[in-house]
Amino acid sequence: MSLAREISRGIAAHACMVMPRSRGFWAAGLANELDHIEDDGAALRWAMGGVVTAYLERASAVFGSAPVRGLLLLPLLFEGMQAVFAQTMTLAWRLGATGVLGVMGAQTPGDDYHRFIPLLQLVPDWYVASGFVAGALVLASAVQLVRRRSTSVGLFIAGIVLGLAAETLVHTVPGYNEAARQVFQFKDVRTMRDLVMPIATQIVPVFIACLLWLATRGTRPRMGAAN
Amino acid sequence: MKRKPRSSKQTNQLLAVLAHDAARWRHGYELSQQTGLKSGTLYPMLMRLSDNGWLEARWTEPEREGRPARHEYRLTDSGAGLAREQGAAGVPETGQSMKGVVLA
Repeated sequence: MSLAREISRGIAAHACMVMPRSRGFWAAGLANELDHIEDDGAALRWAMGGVVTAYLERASAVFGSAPVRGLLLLPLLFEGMQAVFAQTMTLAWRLGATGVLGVMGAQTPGDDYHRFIPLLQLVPDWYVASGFVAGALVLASAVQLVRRRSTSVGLFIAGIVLGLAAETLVHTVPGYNEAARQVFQFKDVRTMRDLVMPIATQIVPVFIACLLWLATRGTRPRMGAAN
Repeated sequence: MKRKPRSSKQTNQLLAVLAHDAARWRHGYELSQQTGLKSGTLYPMLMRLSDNGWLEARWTEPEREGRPARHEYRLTDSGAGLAREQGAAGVPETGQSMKGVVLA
C-alpha cells in the first residue's frame, strides 16, 4: 500500500472518530468509499474532504446545542447594543433626555457625555436611522439564532456591514473628522482602550459570524424546507 | 403553506444527477465524479437531503471481493418532486460530468 493511501486511510479513520455519533452512518459510508477509488491522489482528496465534513458536523453539533446557542446570544446582543449606542445617545440629545445621556455617557471612556456634544450636534439623521436599522438586523439575527435558522448569519452580517458603512460615510460629513478628533483624543495612552478594544471591535463580529454559521448550518439546508 | 425551496447551484447539480434515472442507486464517488463536487461539499448536501426525507441511502455489497460495503443513494419520491420543482430536468446522459452546468 502506498504512503498516500495509508495517509488517506488514517485521515478517514480520524474523520469517523470526529463525526458525531448521529452521523456515524455517513462517516462509515464516506470512509468505505476510499477503497473503491483507484487513484491515490483522488483518495487522499476524498479523505481530506471527509475530515473537513466531520469537523464541521462536530462543530455544528456543539454550537447548535441549545445551551451554546444561549451563550452565543450574549455577544450577539452586545453587538446589537453597540450598533445603536451612539445613535441612542444622539436621539437622547435631540430629545433633551439628559438623564439617559448621563447614564450612557458614564459607560464611555471619560465617563461623561458632555465631550460628545460636538459630535451629537453634527451627525445627520441618516446616521441615526442606519444605526437603529443595524441594531434591528442584529436583533432579528438573535431571534433566528434562537430558532436555529441559518438566516441568522446573513442578518447579522447585514447589520454589521450597515453599521460599518454608516461609520465610514459619516466621516464625509463636514466638520465631523475634526469633532471626532477632539472627542476621542486622550491625554494618556491606554493599551486596552486605544489598542486592544479597537482591534477587538473589528475582529469580534467576524468571529461571531463564524460561530453563528456553525450553530445554524445544516438545520435549514440551502434547499430551504419542503413543508 | 409550503415555502418555495431555494437552492444553490451545487445542490441543483446534485439534484439533476440524482433525478436523471431517479430509480437508480448511486455511490458517493460516482456522484462526486458526475457533479464535480468534492467529498467535503457532497456529503453535507447528501446528509441534509436525507435529513429532509428527499434522499434515501442504503448499504450495498461490494462488486469485488475484499472491498468494504458501500453506500448507495437515490432520491425519494418527494426528492424527485423537489428536483422537478428546482428545474433539475433535462440532465446530461449518465456518466457525463455536470461540472459547470447551471440549472435554472
